[in-house]
Amino acid sequence: MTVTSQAPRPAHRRTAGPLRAVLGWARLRGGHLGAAAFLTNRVTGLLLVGYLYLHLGVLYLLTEGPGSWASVLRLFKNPYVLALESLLILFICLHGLNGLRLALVETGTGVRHQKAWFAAVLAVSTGLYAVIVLAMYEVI
Amino acid sequence: MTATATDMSGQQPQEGSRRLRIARRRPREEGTHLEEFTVEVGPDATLLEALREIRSHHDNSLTLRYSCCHSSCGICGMRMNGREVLACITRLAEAGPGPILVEPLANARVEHDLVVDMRELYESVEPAHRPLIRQDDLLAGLGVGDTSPPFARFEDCIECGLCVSACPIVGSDSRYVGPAALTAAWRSVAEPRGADPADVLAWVDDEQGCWRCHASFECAEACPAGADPAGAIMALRGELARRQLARIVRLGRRER
Amino acid sequence: MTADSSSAHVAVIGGGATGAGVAHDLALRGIRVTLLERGELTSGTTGRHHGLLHSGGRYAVGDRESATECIRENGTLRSIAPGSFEENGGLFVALSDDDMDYLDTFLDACAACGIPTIVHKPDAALWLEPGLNPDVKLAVEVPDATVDPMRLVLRFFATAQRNGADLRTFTEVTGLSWSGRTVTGVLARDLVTERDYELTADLVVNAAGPWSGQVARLAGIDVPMRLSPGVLLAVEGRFCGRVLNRLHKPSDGDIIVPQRGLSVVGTTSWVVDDPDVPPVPADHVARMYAEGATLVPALAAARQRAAWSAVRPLVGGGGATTGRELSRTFQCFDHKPTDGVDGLVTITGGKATTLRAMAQAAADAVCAKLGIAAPCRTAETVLAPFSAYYQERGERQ
Repeated sequence: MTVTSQAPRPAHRRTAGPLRAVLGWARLRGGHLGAAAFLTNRVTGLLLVGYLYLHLGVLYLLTEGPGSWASVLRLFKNPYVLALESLLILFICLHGLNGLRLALVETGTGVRHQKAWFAAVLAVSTGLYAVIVLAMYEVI
Repeated sequence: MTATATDMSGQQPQEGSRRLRIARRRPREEGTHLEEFTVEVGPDATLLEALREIRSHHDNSLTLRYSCCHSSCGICGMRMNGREVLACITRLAEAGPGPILVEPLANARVEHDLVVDMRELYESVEPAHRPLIRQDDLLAGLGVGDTSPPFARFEDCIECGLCVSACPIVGSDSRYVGPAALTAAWRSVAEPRGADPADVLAWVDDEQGCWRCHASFECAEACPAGADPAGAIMALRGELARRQLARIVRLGRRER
Repeated sequence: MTADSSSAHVAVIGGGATGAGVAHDLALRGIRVTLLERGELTSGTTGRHHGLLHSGGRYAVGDRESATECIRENGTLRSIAPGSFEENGGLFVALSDDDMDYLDTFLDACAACGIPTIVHKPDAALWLEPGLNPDVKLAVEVPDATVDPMRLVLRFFATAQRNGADLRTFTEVTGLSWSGRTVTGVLARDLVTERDYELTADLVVNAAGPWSGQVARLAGIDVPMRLSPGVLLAVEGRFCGRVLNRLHKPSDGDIIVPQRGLSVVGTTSWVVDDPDVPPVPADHVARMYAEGATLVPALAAARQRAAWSAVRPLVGGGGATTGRELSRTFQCFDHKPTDGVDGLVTITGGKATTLRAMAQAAADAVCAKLGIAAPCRTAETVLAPFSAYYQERGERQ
């Protein structure tokens, strides 16, 4: 039996474009934590990357001098913007902790408990987020 | 059970009847159209029973595959309301109220109606040495500590293609070998039966092999046979990671 | 003068085990075969049977002919289809005094049919099968095996296809074409393209299993058949490593066949007129659970995976009410001497275990009618893998 080191390419399938790739995620049967983790990771990943660009953009404004920086700071002190930014903590926790779960599961460790791991990721992330937000607003 | 074709004007079905909207397609035809049938059913009727009823007594041009009627042959795979199922063991009641959408499996070429081309699946499994028989000693209904002599049995995987249909990566990248092939590969590695697993491991150790998976676990959820494709893929990775680490350790020892 | 096999064309009606065996045998003899099946291959009775490769023990006492055929074909199938069986043997389990009374008759009958037996005392039986009813008095080991019903038969189809057979699925036979009182071919309807056409053939073989009667009626012939369905139950969990039979006269629910991670309990028997969609009476399913639990108590709590029925095409007619009294052997009808219709042969009856032998008898009759002297080689020819059927199919015409 000959074995090729490159995976064989199925004859009829077309290589997908980016739209089809994203639609592929949306076709999840859903209803189980594994799929929820998959989707969460992708969505938080995209949002975090988007935020990174925003962050770089904001830092660029530092080069424009104290005047433009002050107006940006005023924007960030807006409570609604603060609330949105605080979501960052949730996304980082989710993405980061799920990343740890994936690092273990995707090399064969604890695969049987992958749903329980994700439940823990959700619990810790939302818990941490709640504590930090409450501390931010000086409730605790 | 009786079946009638209706238009899709949304009339209320009678008590004890279900509406099935079935994807119809003929070869050399562009696109698929949905055809609706109303079937009188009992509370435990399976999707396969409803489809056979339509075929026997209403429209025998509706083509579908089935054989064993008990999730052993794996050829009646299709999608019910978007979910991959084996028609023979899936009750219509699981679909909830309302019309039921019946489509062929995804990520495979549709030959006609609910029949898809299985060639790709079998070709994808070839490099894994097609394991068919395994050793086992796990009998149900026994307590811990009971021993029984091992027996030979068929592999869990019934090559139904539900995992391939459910996988979002297969759905977005045609080069990925897919969960079915990787499950077979893991079985060849876990139980080599005299063959050398190194060439199978070399085959899966590829960016389109076991590393292409992104852990959505859709395959394991879809699998009706308990073959755990996701577990197999992660086990392959674990094995590859272990071997790589061992190589690094050996390298380190040599240099000292 | 004997005809050249390659110039003959035979049309086979029916895509089950019988059709598979006949197509394979004829193709191996160099005859051009076109097979017509109105659904997918093995979608009739063949795919749905219990999955038991019989040692013949079940028939040794009541049907010697059947039992002898079984043990012979049991060995032949293992050699021509390696890898298609869970080869763990089977046990005939004695649980009651009546069962023990049956023992000697059973052992003598098996010996007479050439079925090897090993008698196990209770502790040995329980070591082999820890899930067995602890009240087991004795168990007799026989060379039963589990077979995947569809995949074994697909190997015959795959091999026939490799040898040039044209397997036309989703093609229904709507009639026969005639020249006087000779059948010259079939009228077929391609259910996919919805195209009707005529296929000429030197001989038509009716291998339609429970539908053989309907096919024969297309020629105005009445084939003596009794259609006998039986209910089977598959539960989740493999409760035994090997096949388990009750050591008594064949009855309902007295066989458990393990298949992969499932256990299949069967079966029952009654008689119907219509081979399509036989019912699955709930009390039969309950009986399967009850009978299965007498052999393996833990089975009573097992979850149902599926319950279905399949129709046995039994040969003979008149007088039978449960289907169990009729012979399980097969018969080949040449309709020329019996009904005055030439060009048509019916092969019916039989069981999955003897499909190759059935096909040999049919193919011999076909060759005799066509004047072809080609010997049968199916007993020595190793079959192609079942996946070859899918991988080597051409495009639908």
